[in-house]
Amino acid sequence: MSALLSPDLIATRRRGDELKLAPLSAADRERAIEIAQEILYALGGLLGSTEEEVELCLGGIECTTREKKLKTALERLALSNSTFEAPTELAPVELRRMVFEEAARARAEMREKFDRKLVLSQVGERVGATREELERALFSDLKGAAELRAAPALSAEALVAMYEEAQLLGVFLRAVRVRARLRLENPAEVRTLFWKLKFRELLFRLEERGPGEYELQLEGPSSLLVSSTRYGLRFSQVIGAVIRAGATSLEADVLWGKSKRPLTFRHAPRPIREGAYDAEDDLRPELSALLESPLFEEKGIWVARASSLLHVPGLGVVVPDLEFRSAGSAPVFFELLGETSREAAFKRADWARQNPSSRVIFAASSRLRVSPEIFEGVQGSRLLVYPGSLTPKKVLVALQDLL
Amino acid sequence: MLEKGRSTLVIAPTLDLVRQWHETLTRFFAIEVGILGGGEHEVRPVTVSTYDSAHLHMERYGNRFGLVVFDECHHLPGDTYSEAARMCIAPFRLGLTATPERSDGRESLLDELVGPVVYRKNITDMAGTYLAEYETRRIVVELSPEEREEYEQARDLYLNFVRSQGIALSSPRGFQEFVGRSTRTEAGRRAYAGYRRQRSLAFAPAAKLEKLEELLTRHAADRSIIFTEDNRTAYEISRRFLVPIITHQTKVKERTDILSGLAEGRYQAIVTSKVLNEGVDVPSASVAIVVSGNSSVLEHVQRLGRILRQVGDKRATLYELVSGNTSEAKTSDRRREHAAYRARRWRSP
Repeated sequence: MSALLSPDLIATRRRGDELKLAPLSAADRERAIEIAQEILYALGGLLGSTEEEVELCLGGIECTTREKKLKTALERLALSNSTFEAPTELAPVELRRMVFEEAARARAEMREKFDRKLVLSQVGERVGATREELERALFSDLKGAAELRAAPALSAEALVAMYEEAQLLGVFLRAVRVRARLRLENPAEVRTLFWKLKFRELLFRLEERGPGEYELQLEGPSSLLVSSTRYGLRFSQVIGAVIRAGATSLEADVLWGKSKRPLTFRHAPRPIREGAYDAEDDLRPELSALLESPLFEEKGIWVARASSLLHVPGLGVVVPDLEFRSAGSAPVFFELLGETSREAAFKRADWARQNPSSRVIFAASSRLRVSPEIFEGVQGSRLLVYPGSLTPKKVLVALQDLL
Repeated sequence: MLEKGRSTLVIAPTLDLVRQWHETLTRFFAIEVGILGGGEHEVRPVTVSTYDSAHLHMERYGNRFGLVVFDECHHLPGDTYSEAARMCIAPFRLGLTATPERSDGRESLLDELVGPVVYRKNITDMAGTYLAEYETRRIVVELSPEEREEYEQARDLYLNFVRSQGIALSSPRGFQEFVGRSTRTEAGRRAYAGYRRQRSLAFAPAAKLEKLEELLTRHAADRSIIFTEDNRTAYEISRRFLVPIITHQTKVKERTDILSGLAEGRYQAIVTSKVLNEGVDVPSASVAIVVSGNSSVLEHVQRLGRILRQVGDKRATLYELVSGNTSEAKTSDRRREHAAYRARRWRSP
């Protein structure tokens, strides 16, 4: 459970060219917990109220002018962790059509005064609902009309902790680039992080700086020419994962405020190590389809998730997604490229040219607009450019010369 | 266009207008017409685009067209859209609008972006020929004593704060300054709540709604569009009179159904806030009822324009409901500062 906050709800201060988060003091935290308690208590008593009514009631919780931003942020987080549902099962669009058409007929045939109640009763009879139910259902699809079904199952302390995490993410979401130093104890941890980054289709570079020491460079949402909510959401999911994976420091170049002023933001996370992590969950559907396809087995080819690390100059560490083997031949690695960086394909071509003994199939959607010709003269590895979706058959054709 | 062999780009502000241009050009010239916008991206020698898409893609396509038609060109002088005109090299340009005047005065930029005015005709000159004959009627209603008391209290709260802060509301940035300062203190927030309350009381007092009922009854055989300044009043009217509503929250399918329902006569009236001000073709509508609006001449003329499409011997009527002795009366005076509202009564062609 979490949520993002808009920049106006992030408490920051600027020191020269550096942006800093304004942390909660002990007194502020105590007050934040009090406000969070009031919000959660109010929500618990508002079950069945419309979103609009809930927002109105929360507005009644008192706070000082200085606390307003904090309170709004806590409300936003509490509401996004609540469950709202449409008040009735009657389909509002169809219902409106029936009511308004009936009203138009009544008005056209009207002898005296337009009888609103009669119109609603007549339609109610047809759909098996009372007039009151009809009134509630008529605009139940509007923003603010949904009713509160469940308040967040959170303690006030947890809501405040969520607020602090959302403050941090709010700054990173304005990043052009993030550099993170990571301590990764073994190749399995590197692979896990790598797959997590790849699964979210982010633009990144991971490089080994020493034994177990890595530097991750991640392109932030503000690096894109056109702002993309999708990239921002994936990015926010990954930042938390990077911290949990063992980041010792993070530094971000951010564009802050209305004027998009370039500032630097530094963050030293408290050491957290995430528990056992099932990397299988982070597999793009196209790759899962390859793993599960019976086609390879029928041809005597064994397919599994790859475990090797490649070091590509200019790109850093690269972990192939899959490896294919057949009896008596060396493995062929397979990497599915994202759809945002053509540069990544060019760098891989350079690497493959310098490593003629490599046997890697790099697969790219035709939407990336790269040609297999960039691998011209490369021995061993190749680029598979596929139109539409990636199918086991297309991969099998590419594998034929290599296995 | 075809005679001179010039590729042409038509730019319009809304998807409704893009669709109308696309249909008309395809039918008239019997050619495939391209579209940019609304999820479509097909560039052809004759293409129709939204202003947003034109701005996004002009860098790439700005050298492809010899003629550019800017429909509703009063949108063009804005900061963003004007870039689209500058990035385009088309030597031939045509701007079309019934309402060139802008509240920021930037209509003077049209000379640079499109060219000088080559043809001008007032609505009043076209009424009865290209446009339907029309009349406009202002109906003044009074607040009830309870509404009046609440209105005065709310207005005092608002104006006392404005005075105490030395804000000149008549200055171009006066209102913006009020909004900015009202967020900083408790007194400011109360003043802003007062401003909103007095406004909403003037927008929809009981007497206006009673008058609206009367007008709907009187025009039960006509097609009417009810306009409001805010969505809240529009929804209140929709609930109370059970008339279909179109706002920014209305999905395309329902919106299309409501508009065709009005055209077919399934509905006699629909209510909307601002989304039908521009770019919607409702030829059958002959009555506009402005329950509330802002002081913009442009918006008021556009609302009138919705009922002026000439069909047969249609005669259109625009009613404006105004709460007497409130700030709305002044707002109404300001928005009527256009030739279209001067002494309009039925006139024979």
